Amino acid sequence: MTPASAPFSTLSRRLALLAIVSAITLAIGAAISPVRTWSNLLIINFYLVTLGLGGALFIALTYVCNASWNVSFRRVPEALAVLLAPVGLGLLAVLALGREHYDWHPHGTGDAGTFWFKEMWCNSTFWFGRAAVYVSLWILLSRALVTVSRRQDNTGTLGLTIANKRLSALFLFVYAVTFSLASCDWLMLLEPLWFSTIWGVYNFAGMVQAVLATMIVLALVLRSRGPLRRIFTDDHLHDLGKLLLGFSCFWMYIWFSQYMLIWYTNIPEEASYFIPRMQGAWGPIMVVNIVLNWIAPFLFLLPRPCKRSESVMMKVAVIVLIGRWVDLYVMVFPTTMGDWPVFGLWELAGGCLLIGTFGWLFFRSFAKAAPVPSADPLLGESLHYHC
Amino acid sequence: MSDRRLLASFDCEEDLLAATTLLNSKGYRIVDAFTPYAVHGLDHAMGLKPSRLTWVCFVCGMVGALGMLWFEYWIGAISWPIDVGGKPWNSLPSNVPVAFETAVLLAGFGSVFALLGVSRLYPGKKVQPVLERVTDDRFVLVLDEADARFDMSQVEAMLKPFNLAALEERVVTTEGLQR
Amino acid sequence: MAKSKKQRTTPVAPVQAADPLATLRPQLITGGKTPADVTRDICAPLDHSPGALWWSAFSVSMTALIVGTIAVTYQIATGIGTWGLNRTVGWAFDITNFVFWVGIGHAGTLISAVLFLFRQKWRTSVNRSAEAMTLIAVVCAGLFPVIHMGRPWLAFWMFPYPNTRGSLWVNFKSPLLWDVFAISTYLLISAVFWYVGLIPDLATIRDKSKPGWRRRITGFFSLGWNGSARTWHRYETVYMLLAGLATPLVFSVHTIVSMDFATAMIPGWHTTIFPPYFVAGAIFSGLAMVLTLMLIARKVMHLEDYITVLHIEAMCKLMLSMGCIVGLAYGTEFFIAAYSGNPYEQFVFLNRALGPFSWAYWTMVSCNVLIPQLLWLRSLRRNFAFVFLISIVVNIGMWFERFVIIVTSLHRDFLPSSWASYVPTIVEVATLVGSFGLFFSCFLLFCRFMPVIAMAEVKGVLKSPQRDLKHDSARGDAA
Repeated sequence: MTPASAPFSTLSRRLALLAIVSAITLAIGAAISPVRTWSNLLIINFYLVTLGLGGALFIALTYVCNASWNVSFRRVPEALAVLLAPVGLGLLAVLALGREHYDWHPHGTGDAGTFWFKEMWCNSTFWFGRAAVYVSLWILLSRALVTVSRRQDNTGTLGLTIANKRLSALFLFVYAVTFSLASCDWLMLLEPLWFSTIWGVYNFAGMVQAVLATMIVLALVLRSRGPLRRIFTDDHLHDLGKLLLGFSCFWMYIWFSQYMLIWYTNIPEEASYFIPRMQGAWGPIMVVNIVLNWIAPFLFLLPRPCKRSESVMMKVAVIVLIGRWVDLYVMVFPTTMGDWPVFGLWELAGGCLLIGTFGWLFFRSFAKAAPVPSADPLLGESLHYHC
Repeated sequence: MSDRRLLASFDCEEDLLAATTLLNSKGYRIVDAFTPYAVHGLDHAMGLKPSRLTWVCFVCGMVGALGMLWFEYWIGAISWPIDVGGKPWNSLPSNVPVAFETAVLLAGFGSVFALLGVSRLYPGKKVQPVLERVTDDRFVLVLDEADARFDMSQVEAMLKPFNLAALEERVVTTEGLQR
Repeated sequence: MAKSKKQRTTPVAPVQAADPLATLRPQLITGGKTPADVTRDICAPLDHSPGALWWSAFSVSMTALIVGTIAVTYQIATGIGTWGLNRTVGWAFDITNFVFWVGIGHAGTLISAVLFLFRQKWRTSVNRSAEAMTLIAVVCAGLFPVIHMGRPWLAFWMFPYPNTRGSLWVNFKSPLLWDVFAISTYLLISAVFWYVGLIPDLATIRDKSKPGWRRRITGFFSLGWNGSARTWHRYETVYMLLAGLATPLVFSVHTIVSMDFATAMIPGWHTTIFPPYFVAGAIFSGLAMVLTLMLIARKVMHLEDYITVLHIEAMCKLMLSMGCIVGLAYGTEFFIAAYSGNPYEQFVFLNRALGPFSWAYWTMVSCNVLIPQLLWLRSLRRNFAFVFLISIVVNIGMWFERFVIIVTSLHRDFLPSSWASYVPTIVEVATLVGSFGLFFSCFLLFCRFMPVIAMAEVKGVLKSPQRDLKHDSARGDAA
């Protein structure tokens, strides 16, 4: 273990303990209320996978843009990307356990002729095999990105930066296709007959928002506890804040585009998604979703001093992370659990499992490499960065 | 403030920035600087506060959005309600796009007019640039020769290391800075 | 001049050839320009009468414009019956052109606003002309709905003003009215953004000109700009605010344009991905047009040092990524149509690929998705003749995209007895030609009478980034 991990051993232990306790609670939950527990597991595993994938996405985007500002804290998204392997396997297990939630049936025999593609596409083996392919591609490519970056610590060669640039372009290409399909396979198919072409973009927006908030929290924690002190500056924080503001608005835009078009035409097979979510007890939750994911970050992050303030940014990031959970909750629970929102011990345990597993895995993988990519040719630019 | 000004000219932004930082830290009163383009970090070196024009923008945007939402509600639900495609008279989702456009329009125009107002810029304004080259390639720092202890030779010595291109004194008149 | 050049380089240690930063951060503007060189180079075309190339291009454009003007006059005098529309295909050429031109405008805002927020310094060389392109394209776009009204002199009825008809207000629930607000806001904000960016440059021209009409005009419009740092400080804030406003605005404009179709219940029009898909497509087509114009401008106006291979490559990469996004959207539409099991959705997409307009569909797919994939190759991105060709191909492909979306979705109605086809008349084609004439005439006039490159912005990126960093770290160490 490198010295960088020393301040985190206690924290890591506590987080691992939290994860174990909540896992046991959920195991009990699985016996008492299996569907609800499974829904919780789906949310937290999908959440974790998007954080890992989001880390890789952030690295790839900054590489292809030739950006330097992020170099000083690049080990944070890199450690996130490393998470993909364990949480990806976790998600595959959850999917395997919950296959029956993805069953679909054509409504009436007359339509069967137009459902030939769905029949084929949603075939159990193909469906699960695809999931395995997506996850392995993501693990493979993000691993490669991280490995190349870590190798640069020893050599400092420019060639590795360029290699990662190419790899990033490949990753982005693969990511765009696979993630669109994956979000349809894992979340849209829960509503067996519902469909929306913007679904992939919607999940992309939520994912980027959550990963930015996660990086803000982690970078601030790492700054206050040592490894990134004087390395992660207020200017970096400011820029992450601007991106979070931008992507919160983007999320709202995509949410509104989907809602407005379905509301406007009011076609039964499309409106079937929003009717249970807007009418009745789920209505207020939908409002909470918008408040947490857009209104709060929008109002808090507009003033410049807020984006440079550690305490404000920490709060906003936590709000957004809770908002992300609510967003997934609204996608999953109305379908699996019915018309009435439920929130109790199992959801709390799920949240704790999410935080515990994530934190424990993150600090472990962060400690595996030097906290700063010290030989990156763009590190100098990043350290002296003013926005 | 006295009516005597010292104009120090430089050939590149780094020299101007460094000189400004130094003089500002030594407590000299910097009246203004004139540059051909926006020099990154000069506001900080001169000790200028962040502009409050952002608030003008925010307020105008809010007025535009809320005003238009109210107007659309009044037209659709009060003044002359018409059933369009079975939608409710007060249909928030379909009112959002126009409200957004109005918000952007007012916020944009509000901040530009506020800029022109506070910077006293208006069409046809007569202007005597401190140097003709200041809109081309010269960087000029204007100092207030504030009090008795202002020592010309000392300032000159201080500015010499920054590749000082020219140094001249001017007097403030109603016509601007005169030689 | 020699003296000042020497002074500019003395405080810096010589950059080593092996410096990796030199590879990652190459000099944007070549030819070792000083700020004075920039002023001279950019103002030079204003002093000379334009060359033969400019005049020939201008006369071709003016001819096209005259052809279009005749066509428009004829169709206004005779009526919209001069078009090839029928009861099934009620929207075709006119709306295609409208969406095409609005889309062209979007890349200008992308370059001037979005890339500004992302601090992409290379944008400084192209943003002025890209913004001019936006303005002109939006004007071209706005003409089409006005012509389509049939009685364009009543265009003011589109605005909500108290009237003697009730007051009977406009319908705020209609996406067509949202368009009125979106397009006019877009035009006004783009114009303001462009003008605000011009003010410092107008002042530069004013101070460079001898007393005379040019000095008087630039003096009037430069608003008394004197380069004061206090004004610059506020100016930068407002510029940033305008960029921050223009970014969501550009999204909203094409979103609203897409909603003209997506709020209808026509299969092929009504799909939720339309808003972001149209925005990406708009930026894609606009980038292609920027590339077309920049490659011409750099030759005609001798801007080789300012619009370098770096700029062209950056735009090619952006265009490639936008092309991939558009391709993903095409795929998503097809996939969800198959996945949904909805027979109407499935029919419309099969009909696009295999029906009577399949030639248009495959033109669109090859021009927008397949051919741009060649831009993955660095050598082709650096080959200007090839890039020019690709930019034209993408322009054609994006025009066909709108045509395919609009016409193929309409021509097979719900009832087979209403099925019809559509062929444009000569009047419609002449109107399209006229809009190109208007676009290029205005752009050529802009090149002739305005500083094509934002001098005050380019001067700020002249110094090499390595030097910036070294200076910065020196300052940081001292502090």
